[in-house]
Amino acid sequence: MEEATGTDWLSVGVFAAFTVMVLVLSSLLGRRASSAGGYFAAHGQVGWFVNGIAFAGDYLSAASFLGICGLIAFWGFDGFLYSIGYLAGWIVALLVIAEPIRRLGRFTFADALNARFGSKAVTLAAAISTLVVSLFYLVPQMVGAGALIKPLLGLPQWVGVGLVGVVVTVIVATAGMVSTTWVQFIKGGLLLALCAILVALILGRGFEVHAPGPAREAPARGVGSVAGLPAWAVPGATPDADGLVRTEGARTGALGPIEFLRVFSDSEVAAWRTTKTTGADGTAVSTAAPELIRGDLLLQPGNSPTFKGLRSGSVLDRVDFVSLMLALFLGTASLPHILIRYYTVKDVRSARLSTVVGIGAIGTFYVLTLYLGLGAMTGGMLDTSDSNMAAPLLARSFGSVLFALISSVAFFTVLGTVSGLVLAGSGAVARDLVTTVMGKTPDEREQVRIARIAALFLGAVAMALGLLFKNFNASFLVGWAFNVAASANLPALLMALFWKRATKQGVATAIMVGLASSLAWVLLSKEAFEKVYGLPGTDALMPFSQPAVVTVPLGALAGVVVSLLTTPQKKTRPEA
Amino acid sequence: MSFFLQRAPPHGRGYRPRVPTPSLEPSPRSDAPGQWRRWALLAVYVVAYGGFIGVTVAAPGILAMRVAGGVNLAVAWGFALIVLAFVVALAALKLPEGR
Repeated sequence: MEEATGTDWLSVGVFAAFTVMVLVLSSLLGRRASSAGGYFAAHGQVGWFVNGIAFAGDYLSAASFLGICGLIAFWGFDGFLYSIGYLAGWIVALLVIAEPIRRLGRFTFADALNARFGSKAVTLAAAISTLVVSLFYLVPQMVGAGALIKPLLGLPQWVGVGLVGVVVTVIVATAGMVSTTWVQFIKGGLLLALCAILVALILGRGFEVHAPGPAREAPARGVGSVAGLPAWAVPGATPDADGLVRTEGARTGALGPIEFLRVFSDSEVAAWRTTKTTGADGTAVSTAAPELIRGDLLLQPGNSPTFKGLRSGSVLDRVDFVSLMLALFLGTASLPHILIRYYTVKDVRSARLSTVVGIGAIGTFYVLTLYLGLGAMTGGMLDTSDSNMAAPLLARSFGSVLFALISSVAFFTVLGTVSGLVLAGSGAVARDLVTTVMGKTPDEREQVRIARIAALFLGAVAMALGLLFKNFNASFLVGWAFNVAASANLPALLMALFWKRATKQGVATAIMVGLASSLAWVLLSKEAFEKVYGLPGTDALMPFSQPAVVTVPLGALAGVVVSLLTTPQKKTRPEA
Repeated sequence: MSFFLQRAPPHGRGYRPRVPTPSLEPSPRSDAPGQWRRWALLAVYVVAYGGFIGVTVAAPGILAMRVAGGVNLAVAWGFALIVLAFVVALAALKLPEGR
């Protein structure tokens, strides 16, 4: 079995070609981004179809492509729960946020709130929230880039972080939203096309029986298989007493999408689990061993460590699950780098159309993730040390060309999302912090210059954080980002857009209370104690890890109370 | 091909891109045209999504039940939520634009 070590020059070549293409595109588009309208919003002239696919390119981050596929490959349906939650959030974005945001805002999240209140406090709160949420989202992307570069291209981890940081900074600093849009459009289209090809190949290959072999020292590579197929799926084969065919090499042949799931449900699957034991001399030993599980059990929730509480009967574990799903539902419409994409289309109708295209593209991708994950689980190419490598290794099982393409798209997945995040952050600095809070009112060209400097700074910060948190769990941080975004931004948005009695003090309070409480919660949670501080999880101060179920209502309540205690302002022309 | 790129304006040097002027009113308001249908569509999805979460938490065993095509309820409901999101999105295209 070929392992992903050493430099894969085909992958390097494909990746280099993509990178050069993006940089050339950015330099060609740079002239269109000299004004604030061009830099921050691509002149509001992006077509709705391009914007819709760019939504997919912006949204489908490393957590979606690599993280979800990896989770499904190891734990089955639990990974698909993220797919369901991530997509559901777009309904809130479409029905509640898209049109008013497009109508009221200009360049940043704060603009939309400021259109009604013209308040420095609201702008400051929104800018801080944008920067915090964007940074939370940036870290896992950069960690993902660093983690990918070694197994994919055979280069050191810092090269991956540096490469993504430099390329993204060039993309954003040269042509802002204009080039970011096209990078995200290309990435979104490529990701969808390649994943569809991979799924077609998975269905065409079907399942084949391979004995999983004995337990071995971890990390184990080249593992994961089907150990027994239902007799009805392998005509002519001799089944065991339990009706499963365990003859080495027995195969189903090509399967349809529904039939694939049915065969998997009726099969016996070798899922690999790693356990750590301490020997008599105190030496820690990790062992990877196959666990033979019926497929229908793997296609139910509650297999992974994250969601095992669903089967334990623990109330707090179930509240934690509900809170995560709530955060995913409410968080999408609160992510600043998603919100600013609504400013790139010409009118409200285009905003709506592009959201529909985005939902179609993203939904299609999330359906594909289930097949990609199950294909990786049974394809014999898993690496027990890194679940994020499941999708690329699955591609490798179909040949080096597909592996090279998927490797490159994996990097572009990071590039597209990081570009949007850096752009959102640089806009918050140039438009909100400098223009409004620090009292300066630079002209548009000066704003663009400040935003470019901010992009350089944010790119450097992103690289530093990517290296600092290199051992951190990427998917975990994305979940936090959704919790913080939903808690800080959604109550304030709803108040500003739909409640006439809302005041600027109330909206600013909603943002700050939601932001501070959700941040405090996650930093005092069990996961933070164990994974950030290296302390026992039992010392954690919070009863569960996902705060949205508490902090979203808390932010809203604080905003409502303060609004009722303060006097609504008279209509005034908002600040420029 | 307006869905790819809006037609470039026939402006020369000195063109200032048109950006929307912020309005003084929050919009859409609760009485905006089609607003109740917007909330109704949202409610449909919330019920479907919330129902899935509720069953997962309260009675996860139900999700093991095989439904159409031999696929279990967990997978079928998950796919249905994804398809429903697209259907709701298409239905939203028919709504009047808010003020």
